[in-house]
Amino acid sequence: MKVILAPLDFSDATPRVVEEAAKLAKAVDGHIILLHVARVPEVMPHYSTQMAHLAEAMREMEAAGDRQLSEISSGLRERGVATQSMRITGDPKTDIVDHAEKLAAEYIVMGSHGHSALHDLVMGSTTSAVIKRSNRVVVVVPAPKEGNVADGDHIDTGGCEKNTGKFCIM
Amino acid sequence: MKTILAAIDFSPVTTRVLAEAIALARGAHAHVVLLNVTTPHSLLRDYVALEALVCRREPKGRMGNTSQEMRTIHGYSLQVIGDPVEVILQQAARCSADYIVLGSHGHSALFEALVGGTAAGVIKGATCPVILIPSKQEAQNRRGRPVRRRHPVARLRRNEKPATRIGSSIREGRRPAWTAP
Repeated sequence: MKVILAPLDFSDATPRVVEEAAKLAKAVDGHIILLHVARVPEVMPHYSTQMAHLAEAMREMEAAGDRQLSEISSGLRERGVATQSMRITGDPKTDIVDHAEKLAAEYIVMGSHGHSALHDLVMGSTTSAVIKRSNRVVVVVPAPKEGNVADGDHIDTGGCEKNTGKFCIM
Repeated sequence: MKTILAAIDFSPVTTRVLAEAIALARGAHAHVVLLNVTTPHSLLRDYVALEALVCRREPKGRMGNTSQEMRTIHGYSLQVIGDPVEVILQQAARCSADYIVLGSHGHSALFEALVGGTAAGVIKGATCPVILIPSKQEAQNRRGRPVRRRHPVARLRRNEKPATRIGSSIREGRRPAWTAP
């Protein structure tokens, strides 16, 4: 069974990434491993006051990530796709490729842009870093641009919502 | 019926692009559109069928398998002159491709660049997922340098006496491996 690694960041691009990963899994008879890399917040506006709450914030983020991951993976399993999910804490740019090696993934399915979607750039920084470092086949799913999504279009979100990070710029 | 657009330029990554496109087409019951975009100064004098061209350029061993497989999937091939990025995106729109398969670098493989110009342009303008086949085989480590695999250090096997390996070929009457024949 081929392994398809799908790193998620629960941004606008995630529903489509999940959808494409499911289609790919059906096509190449693979199973999906959803990976969420919880990032330690890099920018905090009021350092001293937030430090006390850092552990709490991290735990909250991780719990939210776990919840969303389990919703998505149960949605996928209902459709008959073998799915596993992983949540790690660290730096997405290096950890995604490391895990792709460890899990011997054949494909990495990612969105072209994540949360801070500057569509003037070809790809977001995480996707760029992953393509640079990995030697796996990378499937780049175009992220939705503003205004592309028409009202009334049915989008299977798989149960994920936008991540609301209170303290940090993600 | 799904459509997979595979863009090839007969660089070393082309065999892999074809292989991935075929594997995906088989699994997804899709048909494959093979697209080769040439720029005017590399115009071929005679237009040949793309499959024949692909077969002629590749060494027999590897291509033999691929051409066999190519006969089992449906599709057609196109050769268009123009700017690669524009043409690929136009053709993808025309045949409403569900996937575009591309090598990350083509002939002018400047591996220092993240992806080649064509791949960058296609990713930017595509509305369907773009499957990027890595052109370089080695992974890079965290600093962006190629991972170097060291040659295995000569180690004694179990219960072996230290002098055994050096003289073994002479004892057996063979010439040692490092002398000229």
